[in-house]
Amino acid sequence: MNNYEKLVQCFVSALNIEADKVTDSLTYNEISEWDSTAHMILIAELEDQFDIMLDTDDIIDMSSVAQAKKIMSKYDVSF
Amino acid sequence: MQYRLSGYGVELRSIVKGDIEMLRQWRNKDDIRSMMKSTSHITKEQQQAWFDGLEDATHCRHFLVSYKEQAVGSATLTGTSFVSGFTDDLENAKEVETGLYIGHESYRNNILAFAPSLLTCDYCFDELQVERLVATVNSSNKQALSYNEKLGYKEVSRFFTEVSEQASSRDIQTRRQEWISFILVRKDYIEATKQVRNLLSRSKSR
Repeated sequence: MNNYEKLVQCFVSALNIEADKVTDSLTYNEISEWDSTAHMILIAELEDQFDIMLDTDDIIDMSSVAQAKKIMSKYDVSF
Repeated sequence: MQYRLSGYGVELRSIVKGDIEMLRQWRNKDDIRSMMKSTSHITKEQQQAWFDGLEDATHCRHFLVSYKEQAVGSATLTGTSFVSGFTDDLENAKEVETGLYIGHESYRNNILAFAPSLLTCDYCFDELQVERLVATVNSSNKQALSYNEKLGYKEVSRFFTEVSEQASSRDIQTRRQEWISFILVRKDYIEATKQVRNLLSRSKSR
């Protein structure tokens, strides 16, 4: 599984949505499944899958799939 | 007196004169205004009068919320008395009503909104030693209802108000608006927010 597939899987698992819904434009609170509880689960999934520890600013700024990719690249995860 | 609170990635400081026009513009945005108890447009003069009145006010504190040194919203604490319905001096209040909105477009749909709420809840429970926080939410504001629930607020009552709206230049319509009153006690707050407080209080590592 490449990094992009792993990222999609994190969203699928945390938000409990289909993989085809995970697009760059998907944003926090845009769908009912991506609420604060799911966001916390998402952070845990990403940290577990990519073996990283996100800081508070990154947790706050991760408000879309596109943003997630951008932030993950700061942790040397490439897509 | 100027107050400053800091934590969970955000900073809250007392509102100063230079903030009030930006706050007025945020407050007048349709989607923010429509969820307020008073839905009318605020004029520059009204905003100035409101700000002038804050100087001697001991029952409330109005904060500007900043994230990464950028103003993003407003938070308000008002000392109230659940029994009498009157305002109370904030330093001695047993009960405080909280208010918050995020005005900056980039952060409207963002988990950031939790940060100023957590900071003001900590301040009220730990420093002001209030017994409970109260919030009143427009029943159609589903996001705020869910948000309050996640902070641990419990619904206590519902009531209706008559809201006047300018339908056209000559026509003012009145509609009935339902409101929901919530109460938050420290125990419920700590229990409900354990995870989000941990996530938003991490130090900067990079």
